[in-house]
Amino acid sequence: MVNIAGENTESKDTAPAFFVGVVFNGSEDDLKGTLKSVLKQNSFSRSIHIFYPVQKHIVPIEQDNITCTSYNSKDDFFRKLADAIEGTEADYCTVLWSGEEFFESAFDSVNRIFTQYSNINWLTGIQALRSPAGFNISLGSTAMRRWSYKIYEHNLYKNSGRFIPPASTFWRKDIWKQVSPWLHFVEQNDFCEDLWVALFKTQQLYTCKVYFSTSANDTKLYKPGIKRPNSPALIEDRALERVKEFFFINNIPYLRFLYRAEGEFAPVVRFDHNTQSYFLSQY
Amino acid sequence: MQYPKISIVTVSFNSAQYIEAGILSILEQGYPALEYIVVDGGSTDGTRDIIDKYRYRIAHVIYEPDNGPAEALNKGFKLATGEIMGWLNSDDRLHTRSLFAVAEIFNSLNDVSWMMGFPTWFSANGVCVNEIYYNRTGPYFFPQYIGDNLHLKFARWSKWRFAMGDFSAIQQESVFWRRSLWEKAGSHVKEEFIAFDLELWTRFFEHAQLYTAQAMVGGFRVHGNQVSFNQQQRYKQESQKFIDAFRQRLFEQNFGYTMRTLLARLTKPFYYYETPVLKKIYPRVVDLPPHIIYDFLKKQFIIGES
Repeated sequence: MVNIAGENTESKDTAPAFFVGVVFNGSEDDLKGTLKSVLKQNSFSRSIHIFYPVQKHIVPIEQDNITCTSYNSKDDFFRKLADAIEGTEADYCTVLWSGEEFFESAFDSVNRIFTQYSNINWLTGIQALRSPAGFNISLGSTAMRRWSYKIYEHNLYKNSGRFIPPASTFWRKDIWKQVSPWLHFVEQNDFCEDLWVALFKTQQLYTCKVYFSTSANDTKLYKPGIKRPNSPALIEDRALERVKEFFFINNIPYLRFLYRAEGEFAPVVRFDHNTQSYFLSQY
Repeated sequence: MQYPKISIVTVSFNSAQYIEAGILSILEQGYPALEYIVVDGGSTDGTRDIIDKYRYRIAHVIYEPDNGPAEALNKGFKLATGEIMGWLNSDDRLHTRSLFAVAEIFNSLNDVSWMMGFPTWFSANGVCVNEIYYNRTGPYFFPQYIGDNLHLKFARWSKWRFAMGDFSAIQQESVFWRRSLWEKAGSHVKEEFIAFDLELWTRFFEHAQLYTAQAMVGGFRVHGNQVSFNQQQRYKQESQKFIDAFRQRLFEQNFGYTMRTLLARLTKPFYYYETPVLKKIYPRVVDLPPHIIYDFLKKQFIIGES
């Protein structure tokens, strides 16, 4: 049976499963909000893993598909997270901090995009900022959310504060075997810095112009890790990189050819309301 | 924080497919001073059953035939007692806790008489997208390729810009206004038109500036069965008529109208294409009000730089 949106409503039993790793930030309320937003994605089966530091108290959550795992150190956490992803039977994975929440239809969008584009291995969507009163603020342009490996590395070096939002980033489980050899979790770093670098080794990151998640701004979830080594290649590129990034992020159209010519970026995944499906676009 | 009373009217006619999501998007806000009014014009597809399900949480429900959504809206607004007003069509949705954003804006910014949230769109099955479909032909540097980046530029109006024809993206689902403005503008929408929303904006512009906020307030669900799509030609014709009349009034009241229009046309590309320095001319020429931005440090809305 197909509904007006062209969606096969009988396919729920065979809908793909999601692995959701939640990194507990210390606030039970934040965790509740995150879990609520995961459980709202009710067309999909979810395997939820909550990781919390052993010294923090967490009320055990007794629910199917929710596993709570404590860790002693960051190293221990990284290892347990990698093991959990390795062992999951889910089709798509994401890891987020408690305090981040998914938009209602996020999993549905992710599934549709992965289904429509079998060549996309990982993608990121838009993250809105959540005010203390709970409403969402939309900031920034798509250009600010596009990443090449070079720009990502450059941003790590700068510690610019611009980052790839975990709750809006998903990858296929079946590429994990290609990703894991590149994982060299560094104790001082945030877990996703190393994860994104490893994912970048497999493919460019596709950016989607769809809202996937929201994050509470004042929890300062993202803590940049150590400054990256000042590699000779990076020094060489830095000046030009800065100029190009300025034009690109500010989206000055007639200067964007600098990036277009290099083809550094994966196309943007956009939604076409006429066909109710996604399409790829350069911008 | 004081919560001003917000009145929202939803009009429906055979909207069973989407109305529940719309009603819940309002009721689940948890806004303590909400006055929600639903007017149904004689649905026969189960819409009434859905409304009845939530009737105990709705301030007023009217079931009676009408001659279209404008008449139904007038019936609803006659019952409204809120200090802040707005309407949501039965297929559209509000964003999570957006009424709190509306309340904060009107509470803290006295100069704001009507406002629009950050425009967003929903797909038929509820995917929230930050762009509407643009015609994707033409050179890659045409504005349609940088649609979302231009939202904040598109989503900024003055009566001048409105009169020049840049009006189509005032997103009704995200618009709220003070009762005082509604009363100054005549306290009704015109029932003989389908572009009655646009006609109302022309009357609002006579009295106050429209401010745009970064907050996500409401979203338009694009499912292809809307009046604005089904009767697109008529909607456009009516809109053009209102704009022409509005432009004529502005022309008669302002000696320098033609010069201002000319200057605006010349400087608009610099604004759209982020040309350093020159981009600042257009907003001054057409007198665009600044955006309302949210200051996360102060935890409040403030008027941004113009």
